[in-house]
Amino acid sequence: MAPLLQSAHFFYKYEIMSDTELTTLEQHLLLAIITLHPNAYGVSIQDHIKARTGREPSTGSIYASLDRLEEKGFVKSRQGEPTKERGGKRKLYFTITAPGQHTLRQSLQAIHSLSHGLRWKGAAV
Amino acid sequence: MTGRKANKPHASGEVWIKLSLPEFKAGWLQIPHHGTREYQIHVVVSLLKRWRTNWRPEFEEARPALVPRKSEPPMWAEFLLTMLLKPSHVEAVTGDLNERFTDECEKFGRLRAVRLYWARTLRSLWPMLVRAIGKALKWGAVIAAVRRMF
Repeated sequence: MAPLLQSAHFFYKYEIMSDTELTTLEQHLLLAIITLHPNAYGVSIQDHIKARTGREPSTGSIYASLDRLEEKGFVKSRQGEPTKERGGKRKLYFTITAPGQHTLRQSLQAIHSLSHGLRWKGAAV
Repeated sequence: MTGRKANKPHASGEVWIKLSLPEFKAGWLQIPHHGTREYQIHVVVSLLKRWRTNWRPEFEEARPALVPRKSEPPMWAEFLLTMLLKPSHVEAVTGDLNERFTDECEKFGRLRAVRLYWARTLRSLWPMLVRAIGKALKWGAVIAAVRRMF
């Protein structure tokens, strides 16, 4: 019975619990997708995050996170047009879904309520 | 100004182009293979100005066409990405890196753009590999748990 419980816990931890939680990069990606709609693709998302946060996530980490978000049903992708600058490769545009928006709003509200009334140590009040 | 008859690059890597601008005599022009694209354009323009005294501003428009575009991304980096990335993401990831490469070729020159392309490729592979390994381990753990039951 113990192995069954172990595997059930494993699935809960990685398949169910993670469905309702977003990492910082996932939050950034979803916010960038909303802002850049309908032109949100790898390069524009990366540039937007770099301009707003000062951090430049790698192309690989962006696509790995977007893949995870797509599996959870938070974003949808569609193929775009090939261009000369891209060596004839097509773009992959991303749009946020209704469950994605709901989860993002919950995640941001949680941060907002946690940070409400916060007194920073050493800061002048 | 030096001339050259053969219609192929020299063994040392220097590039020769045939002039076909209006009001210019047909001839061969040597372009340095080192330096940025802007530097190469500067050399070409200064050579042309020295060659013909009746330089006109409209010739400036023809400058970019004089320099051969060697904006091919490094083949091995692209191959590595094609082999290791998820098939559905290969086109998008390589396309994004190519787009950056084209921009950086014009800004910094090909040599630096190639170095940046490799850096981006190696940086991009790690998260993808971690995700692939994580998935494999997850399913491996599930299969091992099921096996232990029987």
